Amino acid sequence: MLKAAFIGLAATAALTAGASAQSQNWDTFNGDLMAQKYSSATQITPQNVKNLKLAWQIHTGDHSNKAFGVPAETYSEATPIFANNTVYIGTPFYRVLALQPDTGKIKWTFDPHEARKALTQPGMKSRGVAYWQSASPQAGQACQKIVYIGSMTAKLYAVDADSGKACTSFAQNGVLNIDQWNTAKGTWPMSILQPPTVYKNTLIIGWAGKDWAIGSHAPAGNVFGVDAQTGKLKWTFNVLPPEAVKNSGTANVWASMSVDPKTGIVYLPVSSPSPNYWGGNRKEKLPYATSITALDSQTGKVVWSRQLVHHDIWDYDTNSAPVLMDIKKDGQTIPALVQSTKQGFLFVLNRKTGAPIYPITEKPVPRSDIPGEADSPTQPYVSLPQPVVPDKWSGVNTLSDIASGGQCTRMFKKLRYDGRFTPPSLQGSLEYPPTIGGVEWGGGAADPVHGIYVVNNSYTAQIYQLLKRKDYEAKTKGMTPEEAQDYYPQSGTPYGVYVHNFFNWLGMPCWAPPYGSLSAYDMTTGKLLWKKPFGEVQWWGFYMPKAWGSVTIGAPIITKTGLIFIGASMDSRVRAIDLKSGKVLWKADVDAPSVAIPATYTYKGKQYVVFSAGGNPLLTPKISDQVVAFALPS
Amino acid sequence: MPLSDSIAIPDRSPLNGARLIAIAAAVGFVICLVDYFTPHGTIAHQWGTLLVLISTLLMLGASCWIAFGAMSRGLLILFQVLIILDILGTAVCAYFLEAPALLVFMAVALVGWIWHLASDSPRISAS
Repeated sequence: MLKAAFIGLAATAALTAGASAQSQNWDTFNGDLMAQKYSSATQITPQNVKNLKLAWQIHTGDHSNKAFGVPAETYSEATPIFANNTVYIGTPFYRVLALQPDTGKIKWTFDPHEARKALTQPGMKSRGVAYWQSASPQAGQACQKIVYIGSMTAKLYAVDADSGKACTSFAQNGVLNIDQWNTAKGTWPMSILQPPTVYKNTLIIGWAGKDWAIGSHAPAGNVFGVDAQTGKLKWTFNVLPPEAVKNSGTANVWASMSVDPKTGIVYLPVSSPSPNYWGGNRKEKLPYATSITALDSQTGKVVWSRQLVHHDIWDYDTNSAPVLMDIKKDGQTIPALVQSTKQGFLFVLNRKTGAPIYPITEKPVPRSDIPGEADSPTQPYVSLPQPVVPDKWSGVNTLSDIASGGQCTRMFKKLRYDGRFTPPSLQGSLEYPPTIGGVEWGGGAADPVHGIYVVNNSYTAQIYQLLKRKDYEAKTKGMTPEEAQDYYPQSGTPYGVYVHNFFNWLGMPCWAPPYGSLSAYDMTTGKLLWKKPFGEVQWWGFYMPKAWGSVTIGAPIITKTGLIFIGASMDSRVRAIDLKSGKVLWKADVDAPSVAIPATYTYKGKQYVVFSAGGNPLLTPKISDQVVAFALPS
Repeated sequence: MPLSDSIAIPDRSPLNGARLIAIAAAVGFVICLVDYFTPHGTIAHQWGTLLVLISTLLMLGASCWIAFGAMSRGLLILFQVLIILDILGTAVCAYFLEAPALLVFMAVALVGWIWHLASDSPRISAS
């Protein structure tokens, strides 16, 4: 008995030590499996962060603005990960670079020579790599530690983490083609742009497509559990019921996932079904579409699921890994998750049962006037925590209106706008927030010690206009791909759709600022601690007032010392922010907007903060291939 | 004139003020040029940077003209007004471009303009 207790204590101590050492790493897309984006590193503090200096930087060489013979633009959205005493970064050309953590010197590179084509997305993009290591490594054997990178052509590459050589024992000579499981072959490849989630010896793989393009017979958004060493399929989670597949598709998981290591439950942010903006041909019940769905990571069986948008016709994909954190409430510790969303709500649920911790109310919403549409009369609303985007839009931007001779007001008067969840219409509907958020794919971060949740968001307005098939064909006939980039065919349905930003002819936003903010919430009460405009907007190089903020993509990370590190803004700056007050304590210029999640790690006693500054051509033409690390001077 | 004399007896010639404006404008122009072509710079290849490149160039030309050229009283006053508008406009642009060095040199140009005007005042009175 005593011996068993001692072994138990020793095991607990070992686990604790392991967890502590782990937290100095940054070995997943979100820093850890719980997607907290939290580090226990303590070297950089609010007092000394002003002394942060460039430690190293590299240019991967993998970026494109369509010049130099590469026909697609690049989106560098990879979190640099730190594991195996190495920094690994994936590039938009689907190469993997292994870097020395203190100098940025390249140890090795892996190049799968992937096609440089934008097959399913507006450009080439990668959110980086995943890392796995054997629990019982065999000495002298290769591929006991593996780095994975996916590609737009639906291939997952497994690479030895020490040498950069392909792991030939994985799938077909180190390459797993998940398109073998495509339910609608010939439509598009199931692009693996988000690195898989790794838990124990299982890779959980989601994928991205173009669910705005095809209305019927699109690939079903199935999720796959695969053996990490062999690439063999362990399980498939069928997101859509079989009867829905012929008329719809997708409801895929294109964003990152989180895992509760205590229970082995994996949490899937499930996206909307196809087509995105008209649902008249998908009248079946699709309970997993636009949901959070919890699965047993080893079997793929559903533990619970909660739909966040019913009959989604706004492309409100659940688009980030829910943040798992424990909440102390009424004297109890509740295992919770916080799900940020495009529609601006923060859903706080019990992660074991899916039950709401803060109330979710079904409220009546504006109804569609499109023939054949089967929209839901109600949608789930959350009032606590306060939504990151308010119910009503910010109104016409006076400056943009004057500059355009009143064009903004004239356009607004022609649109349908009935508040949140205004359905797409033939006249054009104003959406605030639209599909670009709200909160984007980075999601939020948590300080688990103090129960604080931090999230960045955008305030944006877009116009959704459905076009009858005949009108759509007439309108888009003869357009170049660039001219047609905001037109989505939704083929196989009676309507195409025109989705565009609510800009005036000068390219100025017609909605009033702010354009982005950063918020901190006390999750024990659900109350907002602070909310501040975040980032800056540049027009013609001129920085607009700080109160305007910036559209944000990417996410914050938090350190134990009470610091938030974040890129995300469109002004090509990275910042350190005081967790208590929201005050900017440090900032630095980087080559392009850092629209990725940063990472922090400690190597040889020194803490580094690394940003990938690649830009996003949809938001600003400034792109780069820079990976840059900051540290305190020695 | 020996240097020591120029220190001992302040030269109240309005030319010195104009020269100071010209120097500040020239330095400002070079700063803008560097900013415009700095790879991945925050204001590289921006219309705003191009605007201040032009405004500093105009300031340089106008200040050189009043420093070294001959002109009528009316034209001189017109140039003085245009130069101060140029200085203030460029300074506002520098503020919004977050180009502190350019802002500093516009402050120097402003000093030059005040110097020029102060030195010129007796002549205006006399005339």
